[in-house]
Amino acid sequence: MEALTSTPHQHTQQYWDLVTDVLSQAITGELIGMSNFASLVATIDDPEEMMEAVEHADSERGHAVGFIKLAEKYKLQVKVNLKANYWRRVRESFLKWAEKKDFIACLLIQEVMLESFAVGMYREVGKAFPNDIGQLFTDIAAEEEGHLEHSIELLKAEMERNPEAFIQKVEMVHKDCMTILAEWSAKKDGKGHCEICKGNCMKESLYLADLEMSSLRGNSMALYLDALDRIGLPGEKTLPWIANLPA
Amino acid sequence: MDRQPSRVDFAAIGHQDNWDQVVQFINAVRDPTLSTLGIEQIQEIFAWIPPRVIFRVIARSIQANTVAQGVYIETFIPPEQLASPQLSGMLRKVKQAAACAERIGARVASLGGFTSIVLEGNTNLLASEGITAFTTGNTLTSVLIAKGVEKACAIHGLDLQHCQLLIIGSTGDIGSACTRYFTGKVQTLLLNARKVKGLTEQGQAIVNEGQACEYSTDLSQLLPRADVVISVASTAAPLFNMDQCMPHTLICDAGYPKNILAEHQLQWERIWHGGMGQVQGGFHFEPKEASSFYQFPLPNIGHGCVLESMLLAWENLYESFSSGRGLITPQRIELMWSIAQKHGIQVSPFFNHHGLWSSQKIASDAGAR
Repeated sequence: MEALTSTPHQHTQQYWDLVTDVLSQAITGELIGMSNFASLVATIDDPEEMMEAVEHADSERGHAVGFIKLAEKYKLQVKVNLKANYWRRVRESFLKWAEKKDFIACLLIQEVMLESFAVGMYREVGKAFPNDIGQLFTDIAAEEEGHLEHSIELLKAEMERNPEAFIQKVEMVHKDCMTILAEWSAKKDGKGHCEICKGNCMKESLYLADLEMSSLRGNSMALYLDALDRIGLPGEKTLPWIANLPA
Repeated sequence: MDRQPSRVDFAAIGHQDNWDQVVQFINAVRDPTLSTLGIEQIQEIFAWIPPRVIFRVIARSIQANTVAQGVYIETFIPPEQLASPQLSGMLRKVKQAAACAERIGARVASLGGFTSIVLEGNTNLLASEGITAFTTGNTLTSVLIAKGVEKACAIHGLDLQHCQLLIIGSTGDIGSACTRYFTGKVQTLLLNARKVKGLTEQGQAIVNEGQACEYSTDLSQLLPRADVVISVASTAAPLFNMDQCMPHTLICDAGYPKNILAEHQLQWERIWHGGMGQVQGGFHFEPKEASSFYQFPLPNIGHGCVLESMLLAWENLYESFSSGRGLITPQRIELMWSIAQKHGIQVSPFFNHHGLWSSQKIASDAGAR
């Protein structure tokens, strides 16, 4: 393990277990994203959009590779598990809509919901983790933000076309996917162990890096709600959706 | 299908001053089949929610065919942040709320409570694209305080000309408006504020106008002499103990959040929440559950600052009527009062934490009959 400057915690095994767990979650999340973008291709008719989806899938693959290389550099034994409790359910929820060839629903899951969580969490982790680990999270957060921005323009047009139908769809997709993400990011795992963290839940040791689950979750939710606002969804409709999520 | 976006004539930007109210509202919008969320669970997420419209308001003037459609924009500033010396977080939320008002095309928006205090009335700090005129709402609040004091004195048989009137927070925008309004109308003005320099300048100016006036930063020197108290200090929570008051003293607590420590108040028929108005034409919220967020002992009651944008919309006066600090003159107060009366906004029946004054209950029951 390369010596790093900074806090006393960074010299403990617990701290590096936390870094390992966070990297494991990030790699798994990126690979789920990669798979989702790849599945999205089948829902698209426009060749340019199709190529863009492949490009995004490759970008997520690149992020996963970046995290894996970091783990190797620091000799951290990451655990990648695409069948893990919460991530599997996220993937299933995406596939359900992909099978219906519902491009808009897929876009909402991958580029709004998952990217909001990626950007919100990576930004904070980027500030908290040292050296090149923190830097990579920060850099990837900026790239994922681009995906989020890209989708907002597309979804705005969809909202203007038929607001009632669109709001109804977002609500359904929100219930499907955000419920899982809310359970995953709740202070305590309401639906059991995530099956990615090596030992106990990493949420218990976030303090070692001056991180808090409520802040990680809050930042992500704020980005998500901000995206919905910018798409044009009425705030009074989306507030109850948030209030109904598992706390 | 061609759709017309719903019109937004006015917006009211506000915040909550206690967690109980927040908990009540969040649980009211939550699916009733789900378990109720506790305060700690709500605190985990509340502050992260970006400012947003949380309900629509449809308000009717007593002028024929004059209906205004508005929205309430909640800033989601956590109540404890009001006491924080770090204003940047609050300012960011206020700016986001202003951007929200512009995004939805509100033609005029008022800034309730701390949302205007944090700007010190400087609505120019809000990056405006010219869609929305921002008003602090302080003129109508001042009107409702001033006219409320006159009405309460009449109910209790106090002659203002023989009264010593204490204004707590006299150098603020509303405090200075009340000071100017009551200059020449009372026996003595007793002025209290935190900063010596501003208070001294204000006190001297009033004395120079020939009004008997005493001022002090020490409230305990003034309270025992006051026949009437107006409290409009920017406190993040109730702060002032009224134990020193005379038994007959009338107290108008127009703070948002409230200024007066309720547990120390024994004369319940002599204290009221000031700066509140009642809309004679009525208003209602959509969705209906939102009413749990804004409840008073009688229907159609609202804060002056909130009602100001509604009133300006009825009057087709889409301008920053109240802006800056210390600019609310008695003439502006009378102008606003005449517009308010034209559209049917009256001083709210008097109430406090215990409910309506019994005299108001009698009047309200009689009205219902």
